[in-house]
Amino acid sequence: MTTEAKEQVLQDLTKAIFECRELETTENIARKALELGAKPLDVVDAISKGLDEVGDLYEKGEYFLMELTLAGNTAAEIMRMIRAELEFEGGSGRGTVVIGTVEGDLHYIGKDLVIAMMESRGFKVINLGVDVSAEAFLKAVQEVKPEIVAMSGLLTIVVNEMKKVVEELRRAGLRESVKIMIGGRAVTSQLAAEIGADAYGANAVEAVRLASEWVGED
Amino acid sequence: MGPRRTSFLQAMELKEPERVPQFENGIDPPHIETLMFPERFWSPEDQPATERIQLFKHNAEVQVRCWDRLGFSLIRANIALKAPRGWEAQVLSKGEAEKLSQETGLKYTPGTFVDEWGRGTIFDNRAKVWIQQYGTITSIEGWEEWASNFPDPHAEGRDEDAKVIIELADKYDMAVSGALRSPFATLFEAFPIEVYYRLQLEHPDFIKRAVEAYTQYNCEMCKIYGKLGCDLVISSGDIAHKQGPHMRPALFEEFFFTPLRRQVEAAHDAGLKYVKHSDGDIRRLLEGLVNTARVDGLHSLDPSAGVDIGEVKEKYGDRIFLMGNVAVDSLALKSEEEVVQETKECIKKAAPGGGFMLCSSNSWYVHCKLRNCLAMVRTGMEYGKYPIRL
Repeated sequence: MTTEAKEQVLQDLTKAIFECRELETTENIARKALELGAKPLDVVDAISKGLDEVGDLYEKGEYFLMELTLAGNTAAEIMRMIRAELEFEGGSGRGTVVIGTVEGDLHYIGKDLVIAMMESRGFKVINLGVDVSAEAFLKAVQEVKPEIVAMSGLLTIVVNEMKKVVEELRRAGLRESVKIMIGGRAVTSQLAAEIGADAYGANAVEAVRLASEWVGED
Repeated sequence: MGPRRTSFLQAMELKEPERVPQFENGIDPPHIETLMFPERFWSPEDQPATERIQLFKHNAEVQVRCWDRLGFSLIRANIALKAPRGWEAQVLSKGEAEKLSQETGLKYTPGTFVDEWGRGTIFDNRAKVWIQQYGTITSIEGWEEWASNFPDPHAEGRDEDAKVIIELADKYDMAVSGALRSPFATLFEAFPIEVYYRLQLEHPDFIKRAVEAYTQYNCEMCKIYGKLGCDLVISSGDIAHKQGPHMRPALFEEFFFTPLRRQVEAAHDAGLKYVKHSDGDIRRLLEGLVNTARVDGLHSLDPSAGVDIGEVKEKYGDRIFLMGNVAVDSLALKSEEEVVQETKECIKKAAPGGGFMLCSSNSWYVHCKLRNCLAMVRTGMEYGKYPIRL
């Protein structure tokens, strides 16, 4: 009975994420699941299923930026809520992502969406903000030792700046220690190859997919 | 009225003027200064700009003569988003930025300038323009408090700059567009994005109430622009991004396009045409814009997001005029020859039959190569003469 109830609540959680229910309601469902004996990793799994559905519908054009943002942020909030338990259980730390909008560009919407989606999938995200210099990216990589560096940019000028970051990391002997993804209006997969990045994420869903592949689990 | 403005008005009436009118909704100041060298814009710190009106007059003169030199037919006057005389912006201190960051989980930058609408902006030193950052209103209560002192369209001094532009435009035979900001964008930008979406989903009555307030402001603004002699209004604020609309089209229909129709009617009552601007892939919103809101024209038909001006022309060209759509990405990244080709394609698809104005898919921002921008203008001059022979 308890197992059935727990499974039902976890399904409710998936549905709440998928339907972009109120944050408080969704958090309460997650709490209820934990009270019924679900492990934090079960909660992560339920959230992930909901996000998968949201991502699928977004890519089919049936969901929009609104649903993607709300589901991503709600999931990220729940991840924050259960972070302590996850670490205790050894289920946290899928990897660390250093992210920023490159120098010369002050746009942030796409970057913030990627952050929410990454956090909701259990990645630790270091947000460097907007207008981030190559030196600042390098410093963050030296200090944080992330698995992934993600660069965002809307303006066409970002191409050179992204290239600069890759070169700085190479010069410092750190290029091979990280995977690099780029995203934003002005960039393409061809450009990612040209500047020596590992991949281009066309949107937040794809960015998370790439990151998950790189850390070898999903 | 001279031939240049006449041509623009003819294009707005879906007619073929003598040649395709050209314009840009904006050119970043560094480009204007390059084009007008050795003239430059004054900033408030400049010695000659001891009075606000002197600053406006000088900068407007530089801008209008730049437009004139480029052969442009339309210039923008902005009253709606200009601060009234004496209004002082809030600038976020380190403590305020940290407080907002803690409250919202977002990364607010100290020094962020909070405008009259609660929107955060940062000055981009390279482009010399203000770039929008996170909104600073975080709750319905916060909005109600802000709205208790809702911006007054008739506030003293709000129209000073625009009056100077309109007077100069008349002298240089240009049409004038009055700037509006769409209620969606103004609301969307006043809040952190996630908060806005949450309100849209969970508090639709609040959104309707807020949209009503912004709609009334814009309707009043249409009257002001009409009285000052403008020819059209262009409502800025993106409703889509590269992959599609920000929200499902049904939400736009219910919450925004119906009130937008009232703005369009207010513009018509004031003798103005109404244009909606948006970057991004707006294809799924076109029906609502044309049939529900009944806008007169669309700007900028973003080709980088997949919008084909030829398809829009074919489907809606008998009802609306089109302004676009050489990709700003091409102006920034491609060769001159490629830009010439793209401009010719654009003219070929959209100009026949009239109702078309040539411009970029946004503006000449600082990273666009000026030689590409000028190649677009030259191509427009060369191939934009009616009848189109392309």
